[in-house]
Amino acid sequence: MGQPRFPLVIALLAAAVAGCGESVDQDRMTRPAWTRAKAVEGQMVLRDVLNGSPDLVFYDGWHGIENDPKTGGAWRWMGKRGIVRLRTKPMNQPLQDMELQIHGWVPWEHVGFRSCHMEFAVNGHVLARLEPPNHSFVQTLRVPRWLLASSEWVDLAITVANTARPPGELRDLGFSTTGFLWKPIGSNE
Amino acid sequence: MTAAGAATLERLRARRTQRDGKVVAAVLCAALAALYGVPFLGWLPKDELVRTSVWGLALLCAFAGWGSLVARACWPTQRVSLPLSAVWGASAMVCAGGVLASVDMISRPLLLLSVAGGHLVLGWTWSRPVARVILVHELRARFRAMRAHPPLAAIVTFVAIAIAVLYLGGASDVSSNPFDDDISYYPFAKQLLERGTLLDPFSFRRMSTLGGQALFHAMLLARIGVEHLNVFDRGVCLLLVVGLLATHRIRGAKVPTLVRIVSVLFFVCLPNTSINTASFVSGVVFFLALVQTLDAMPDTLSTDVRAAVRRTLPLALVSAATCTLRQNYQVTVALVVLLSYGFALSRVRRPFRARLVEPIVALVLTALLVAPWLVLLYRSNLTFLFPVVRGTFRAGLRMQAEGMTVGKVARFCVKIWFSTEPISTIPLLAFVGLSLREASSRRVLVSAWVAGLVSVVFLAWGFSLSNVVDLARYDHGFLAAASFSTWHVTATGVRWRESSSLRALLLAGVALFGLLACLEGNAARTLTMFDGRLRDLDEMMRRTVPPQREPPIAGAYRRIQEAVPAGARLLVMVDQPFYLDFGRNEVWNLDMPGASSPPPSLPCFSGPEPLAAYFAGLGIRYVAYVESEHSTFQYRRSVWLDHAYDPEEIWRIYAPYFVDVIDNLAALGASRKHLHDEAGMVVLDLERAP
Repeated sequence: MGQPRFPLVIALLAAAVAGCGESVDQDRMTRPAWTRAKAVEGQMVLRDVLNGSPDLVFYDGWHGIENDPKTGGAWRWMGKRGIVRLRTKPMNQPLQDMELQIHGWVPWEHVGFRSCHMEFAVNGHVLARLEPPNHSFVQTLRVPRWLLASSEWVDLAITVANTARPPGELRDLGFSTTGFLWKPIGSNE
Repeated sequence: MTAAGAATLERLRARRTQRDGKVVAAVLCAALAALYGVPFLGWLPKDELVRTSVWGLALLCAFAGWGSLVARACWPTQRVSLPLSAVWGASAMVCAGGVLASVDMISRPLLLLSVAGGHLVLGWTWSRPVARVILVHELRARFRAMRAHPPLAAIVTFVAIAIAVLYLGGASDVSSNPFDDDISYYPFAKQLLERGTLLDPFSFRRMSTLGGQALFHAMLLARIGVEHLNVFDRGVCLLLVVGLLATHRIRGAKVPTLVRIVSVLFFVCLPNTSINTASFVSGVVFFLALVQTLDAMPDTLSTDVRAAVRRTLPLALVSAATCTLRQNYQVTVALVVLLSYGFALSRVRRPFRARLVEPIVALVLTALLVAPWLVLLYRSNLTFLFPVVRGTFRAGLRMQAEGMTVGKVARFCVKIWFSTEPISTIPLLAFVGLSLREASSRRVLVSAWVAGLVSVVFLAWGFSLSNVVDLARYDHGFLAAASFSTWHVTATGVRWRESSSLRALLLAGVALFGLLACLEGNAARTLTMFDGRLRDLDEMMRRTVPPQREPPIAGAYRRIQEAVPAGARLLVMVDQPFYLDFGRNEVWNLDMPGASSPPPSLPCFSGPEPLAAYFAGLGIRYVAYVESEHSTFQYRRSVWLDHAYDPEEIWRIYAPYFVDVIDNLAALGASRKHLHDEAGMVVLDLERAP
């Protein structure tokens, strides 16, 4: 008698809380497959890709997805600086050197005499600089494992020197992507 | 004049007051009887408008009646304003309703009786000799004040007309949100009325609310049509806020008239940014009442349990009722009460343990009063504290955005804080509120603001899938209440005819600037709101025939339901389930397919047969659904398929489940017997082949 009963109460509450809710995502295998299948069926693969994935998050500086339902084409603009978060161990693979393919284009025809110079940095380290061509391009970055070693996620920061505002557009547009591919070096996926 | 003459004059005055008091009380009681009786008449001129607005007022009087009883029982020596006691009464009705709903005992006769009971109590209160004299004195004082200050009287009249327009406009507003009201909130009220309880294990919105707002809707629904439920938040609650502001007392003293007029005017001009019938203005009502109740409590903490029960019962009632309105209010209520008691405790000297009596009693009472609603939620969705306890919520779903970092949550908080709608100057008013030196040891205002700030953080963290515009509706209740209280306390602190401290003047100036800047920023939307209310009112006034009792689509719903044996459990996924008879069948509503389902959880992405087997396991033999191409709003497959790839993460998460369940039900429609097809709706017998 007279003993504090708080531990017992807390234990009962914890048991109640634990027992009341589901904790396992029973759809973790079926939902992504379903989403991919429907995307293929409905010509929405690019939209699916541009929403990000469990290993790649469009974090900051990105506008919403734009798409052309007739062709299934989709793209996503950023302003002067856009950040994409990358999981350092995608699909729970061991830590290794990674490769990032960036697909897109710049609004070179609206930039005028200025340059569209681009810079790509991962975890604060500039990995590449680019004078983009006046057509769609693919930029491949090799990300050494030491840049990824100390956290679960890292930032990829894309910076463009100048943005443009095409006629009828209210946003400042710097770079438009049609997708990213984040994979271990040498992987065929 | 001689002493005898003066005494005679006094006697004559007293007799006149008594006589006038009887007349006033008789008139008020007759008005009460009329408010209750008129909505029962078979036919009324301008039926929809009159019935709705009169029943709304009848409900208010019932609240006031029960509230006066609470005030008399708990705070017999303190003067409690009628609007504050009305909120106490509304809270008492919610708490009693929770007990009844948890044992399936809510019914139309019971709700009507409770309203009648409130009227009887109010009538009795007004008829007491002392009350009659007070009423006469109050009326005379008002009349004298009006005559003494004609410009003020003109302003008050103007504001009163604006309030009447808003109330009647709210009663005439028959708009509904097809994604929220039609699918969930209207069915909740109907279920309470026709089934006596609120059990909906497949409803996501059911697990997101305890049901207090639904109970108020059910009280209205006892006499008016479902399309007029807007009258609660946009009419009844509007009057309650106006009342609370107009009669506010700080530490027993009335807030200066001009200050009260400014706050009422400001409130009346605030655009209503709600998008459905869920709690919006009602949040302001109950949080204002919570703050005013706390502020009216004595500084010294009671050390006697019995006295503490009497003192804290009104606070506990209001706290519990507020918790039932919206899930996110629970955190704020807990914080306001705990913080204010924390401040009070920090000022007391030993013995400390004895001083804990009142806070503990307040918390225990609140917990006891809200418990029936928690039990009911547990019965329905296996959770008493969603989303902390997930209950029937699907494990694969979440309320938090993917890739949320501490920095992003912080930025989201700042965004919410600086995008508050419709009071855009909340940060400024918060600054004033937190800078004030409160007289009360409970520091209610600081508690309210700190609780509001912390709640915003919880909201940003807990529901990061949402956006600032939507979350502004979630935090409006407590932030608006804190804003109004701040203005009252600040402006009351300024001694207008004497020299005030620079600090007091500065703070009052900043608060006034905050209100004016907000008014200016909202001008266009305020105009739109008044225009809308007048348009709705005008439309109701032009109607010349009795209201339609049943629109054609309701007949289709009736026939769909008649195809199912009475008493059988019926699962529905239709656009307007509120047309169903919840008393005839136990109706379970798939409002957001996949989001909530009883164990072992709705099978998704695995085809129609596992779904049929799951339903059979739950004793569901009959399923009614609307075919995707016939759905008016919620269940259109093409829309949800598009949402599955939407830039907004919330839709990407929920959309696949919608599409999958729509597809699976359509597949079951091809393999099971159709009991009835009408208006694009199908009712299936899962145990029979076609």
